[in-house]
Amino acid sequence: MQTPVCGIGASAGGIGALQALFRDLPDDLGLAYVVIVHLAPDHPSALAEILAMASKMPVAPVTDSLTLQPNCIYVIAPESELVISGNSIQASAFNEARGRRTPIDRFFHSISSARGDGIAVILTGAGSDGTSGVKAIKEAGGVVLVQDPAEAEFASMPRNAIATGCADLVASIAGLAVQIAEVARSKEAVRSLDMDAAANDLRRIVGFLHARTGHDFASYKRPTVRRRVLRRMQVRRMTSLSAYAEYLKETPEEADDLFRDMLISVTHFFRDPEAFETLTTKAIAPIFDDVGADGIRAWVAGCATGEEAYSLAILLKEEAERRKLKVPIQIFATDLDEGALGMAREGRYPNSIQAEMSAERLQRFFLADGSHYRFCEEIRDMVLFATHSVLKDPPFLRLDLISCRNLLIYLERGLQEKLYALFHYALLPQRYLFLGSAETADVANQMFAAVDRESRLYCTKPRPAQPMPILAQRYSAPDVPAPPARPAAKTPPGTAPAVLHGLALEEIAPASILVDERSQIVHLSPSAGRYLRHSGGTFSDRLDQVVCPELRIDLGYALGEALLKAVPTLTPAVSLEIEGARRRIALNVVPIRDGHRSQPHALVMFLDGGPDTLPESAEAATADGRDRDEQVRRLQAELVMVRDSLSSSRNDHEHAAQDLRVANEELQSINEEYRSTSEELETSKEELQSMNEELQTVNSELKVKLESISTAHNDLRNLTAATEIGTLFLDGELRIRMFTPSVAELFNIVDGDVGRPLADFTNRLIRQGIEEELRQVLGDHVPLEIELKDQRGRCFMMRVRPYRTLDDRIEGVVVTFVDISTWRLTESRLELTEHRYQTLFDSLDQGFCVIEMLFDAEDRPTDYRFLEVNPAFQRQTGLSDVIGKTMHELQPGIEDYWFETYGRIARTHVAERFEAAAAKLDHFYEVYAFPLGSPGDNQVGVLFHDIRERKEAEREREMLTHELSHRVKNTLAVVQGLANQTSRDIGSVDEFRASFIGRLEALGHAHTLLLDSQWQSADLVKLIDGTLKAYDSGKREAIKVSGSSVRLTPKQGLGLALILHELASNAVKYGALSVPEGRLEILLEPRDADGQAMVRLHWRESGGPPVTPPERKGFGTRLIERASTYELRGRANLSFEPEGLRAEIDFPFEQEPQ
Amino acid sequence: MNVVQGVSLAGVAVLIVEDELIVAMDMEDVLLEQGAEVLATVPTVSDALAAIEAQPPDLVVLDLNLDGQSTVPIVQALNARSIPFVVVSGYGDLRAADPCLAGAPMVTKPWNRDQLLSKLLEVLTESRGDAHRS
Repeated sequence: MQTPVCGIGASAGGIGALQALFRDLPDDLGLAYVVIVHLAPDHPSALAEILAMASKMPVAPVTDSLTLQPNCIYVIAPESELVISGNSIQASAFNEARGRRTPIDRFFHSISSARGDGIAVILTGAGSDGTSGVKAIKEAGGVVLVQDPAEAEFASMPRNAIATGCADLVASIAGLAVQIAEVARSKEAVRSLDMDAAANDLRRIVGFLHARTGHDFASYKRPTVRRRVLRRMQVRRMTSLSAYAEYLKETPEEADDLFRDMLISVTHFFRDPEAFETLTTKAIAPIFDDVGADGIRAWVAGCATGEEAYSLAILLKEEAERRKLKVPIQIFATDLDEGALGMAREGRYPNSIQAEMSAERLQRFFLADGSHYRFCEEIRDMVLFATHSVLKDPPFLRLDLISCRNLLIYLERGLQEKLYALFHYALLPQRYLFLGSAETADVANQMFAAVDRESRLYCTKPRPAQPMPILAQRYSAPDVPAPPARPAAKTPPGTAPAVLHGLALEEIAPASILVDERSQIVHLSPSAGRYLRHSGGTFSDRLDQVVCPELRIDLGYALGEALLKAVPTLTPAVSLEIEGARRRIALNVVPIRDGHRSQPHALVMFLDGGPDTLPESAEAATADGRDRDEQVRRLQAELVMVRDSLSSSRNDHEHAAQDLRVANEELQSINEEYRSTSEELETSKEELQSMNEELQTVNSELKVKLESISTAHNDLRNLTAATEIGTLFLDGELRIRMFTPSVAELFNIVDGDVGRPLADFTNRLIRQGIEEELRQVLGDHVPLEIELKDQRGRCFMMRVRPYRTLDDRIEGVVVTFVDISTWRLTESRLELTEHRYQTLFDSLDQGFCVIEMLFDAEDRPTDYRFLEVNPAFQRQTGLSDVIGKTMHELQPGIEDYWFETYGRIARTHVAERFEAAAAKLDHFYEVYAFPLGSPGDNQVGVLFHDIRERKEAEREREMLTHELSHRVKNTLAVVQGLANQTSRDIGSVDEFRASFIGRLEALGHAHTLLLDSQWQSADLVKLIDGTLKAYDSGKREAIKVSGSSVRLTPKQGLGLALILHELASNAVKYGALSVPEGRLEILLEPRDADGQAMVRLHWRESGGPPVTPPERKGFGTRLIERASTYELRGRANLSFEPEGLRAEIDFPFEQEPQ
Repeated sequence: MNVVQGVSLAGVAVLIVEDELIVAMDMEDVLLEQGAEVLATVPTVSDALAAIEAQPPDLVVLDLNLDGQSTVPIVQALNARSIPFVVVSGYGDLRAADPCLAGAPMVTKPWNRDQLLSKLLEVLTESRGDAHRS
């Protein structure tokens, strides 16, 4: 379904009116509003924004093609006109010169041709744009609403629209909004009417219209009638035909309005082509056949928008060209409708006329004018358009052709006849009348003969000269008076005396003629004919011209008396020759007034004075004698002479009158031409007005623009100051146009240097040939970037770009200088930092990689891909060439927790630190993994190093600690046992302490010795020395150790230390070492026993107190014996010799490898 | 005399497997005090196995580590003969030393006399109970 369109045309003062209108308009009417205003072509318009503020409906400027949406506002853009086609609206460029543009008309026409209906609204504005558009809208069945000119800021546009008679409603803005809403609703209702069901109502309406106006539209095409009726319904906001029928009945004015609507004219080029064909062959050709020096004159009455007239012009032109004749051709085209004439004068028609004529004609006679065709001057000059009423104004004369089509059908028959007479009068004899297909000149068959009835082409019949028919009275013109009652032709004999008297009167009554006020013969009595005598020349029905010449002077006088003064006159008798005999005839002219009829008539009676029996000779013989006769003859001769001269002067007069008439006609046509010139001036004036209006719009918009420019200028100034970008504008000759302060310094220029060539100035840049580079940019338009330095060592980036105007012309160059010193410094620092980072990255001992986690459909981490690794990566993992590969590809079977952990980090974006084994890689890593990038990237950075060795060391340490604890506990158990054993033998605490500590010290010493050899072995001699040291203070010379040393196992060492301690402490307490002269000898004797390396330790005491064997085995003895076997894996033999204790301890030893 | 549920060490033939002489002597004294018969005191695994072979003891006191040698073979031999034993060791956790020692009765070094005795009696009682039941 197409969106109904509401076209709104406004001009000067329109913005306020539009705002007010849209503020009042409901936003749910379902209409697409198209706003057409006169915008300045080279000036952007803010109308859309302004309207958007006034209405809730969306507002769209139309710059291309848009589909119409209900409840939307579409706004014309500058330098374009809008047309509707289908359900879309298109913008296209204007084709006319500025002053001639009529975008409102153009749009309204497009609504009418594309839609057949719609709403047109004309708001305030100067000029007449929209005037023809509203006609088209109305003709097509749309509704036309106009702002009240009294309210409008500029009244002429509304006034012109109203003047077309097409305005259905005239109201204030507020009223218009209400009306639009109601029309829209009624349109909606009309749209949904069931047309078949409404056919009866339609017939009723047509019948009623017939009764009211006398015009029967029943034979009109039904769709036309229906369209016009529906249109009136919308105007009257009726929603059903029956309601409208009622309204029509009750409101007499509505019938007139409907009637007027019915008459809206439609015309196009070569309407009824066959008829035009006939016209060419049967009328135009004959006209050309006997064309005179005057050329050809034609009249198109009721020309409307001129198509008819131009069609005729084309035909005439073509015929003239065919005959290669150069004759003046003048076509008068008249109409009452000023608006239509305006369009006609323009001679400019939409492209749709292509359908109405051949391509050759279009080519030959038109100039393409964008969406329009315009007639070439040749044709345009042939036609003169003028406002003229066929009914009121004098006609054009001496015409060869009158075309009056589809005008007569609207007129009553009586008026039609008068028009035919008028046309007959205006046409030359044997010339042509061309009527519309529904018209016929048959009623005037005494004046016109059909040339081609089918084509409604008629030709004037020759007939006597007539005065111009006067139609001014129009409908009030009196009927021609009825002829005097004529008695019955025959009366039966024996009638009454009154009848007899009547008959007698008839018999003897003088011949008489009834004439009207113009002396035209209205009626003749039976015998009056003999007094008439037509002279040569054209036929006339005027009595004073056709009566016998002898009577003419008297009659003229008498008729004047009777008709003008209403005085009866009896003229003297004149001698006439009637039917071969001379008779004396006098005239009695009696004015006749007929009551209410104001038009005088006169009855001319011919009084027969009997035969003029007196011959001239006889006359001479009368009583007055010869002199008198002579005198009479002389007088008579004189009279004849006078009559002749009178008659000739009368002829002269008639000729003069004729000339005057022609002159008058020409003056009339000159007048018409002046009038048309005046029309054209009027048009120009309107154009000027519309131009003025545009200028006003432009001016106001320019004002706004100026403000925004000054703001922009300020902004620009602040911007250049704020950015500190030195900018230099140069024109095409490299003259300075504008520059910013920082450039001033670089180029040594001051404000006054604007306009001077840049080459005139030295600059502080360390670079030659800048001018050449600028010229190069001017030439090839390729922007340039150069880094350069100034004399103060600052770095600049100089950019040279062509200065491109909005319409893409190059008008110079723009040079900018950006101080990049800081940037350069930062850049070098950045480079350094980057280098450091890269070095760090490369030399980092820790492995580093960036991975991208891969998830499966259930969002479980399944694998990861290496994106980046450092050199240490390979060292740490043993994997090489990993970039882009996934872990599974590189090494299948990696533990799942790697993927789970990295997956978690990628998802939660929380870094983690952990230690984990990668068994497949045979590594154990400490890892710090952290998210990289944004969560969706699934990237994880991993920093790791192998801690396998550390782990092993830790394990070893743990083991050692464990072992140490075991040993300590063992040692403690030994100490415990030592304490227990010691305590068994000894009573006093002091003794216990000395004994216990001594044993502990011996153990401790052995431990020290063993520790020296890492608990591998102990040197026997060292052991002996060390153990005895505690007891040899001052007795060093008393102890002698000899023999070769061997290496002992740790266990042997410990055992031997205890044994030696027991022996020594015993010696110190009781034995050889208890006295100064006592001696101790220790001999080490290695020997071999059955292949086992053995050593015998001899302990020999001497010089001490006498020895007695102990009564019982003390702990010491037990320990020596048990330890020898248990720990030394040997044997001890103690013998208590009197001179001193002797002990022999044998035990095996491991020979040191050679 | 330490007596647990009427059980005493008196007359019980005990084998001491201990590489530290002092500790072994101390242990002998304790056992002899209780009336036990010390069958032998041996410092090596081979000596111990030979001693068990020569005359199976009623009860064995056993160090876990004999100068670096594990006594697990002895334990196996004892288990094979269902001879009760008590491990006396500096190691806190037997399982760490060898899984087959899990659950073995144990006294940690340095040992407490009463603890050792009650553990010996406990083992002996259990062993005898088992013997009765079997």
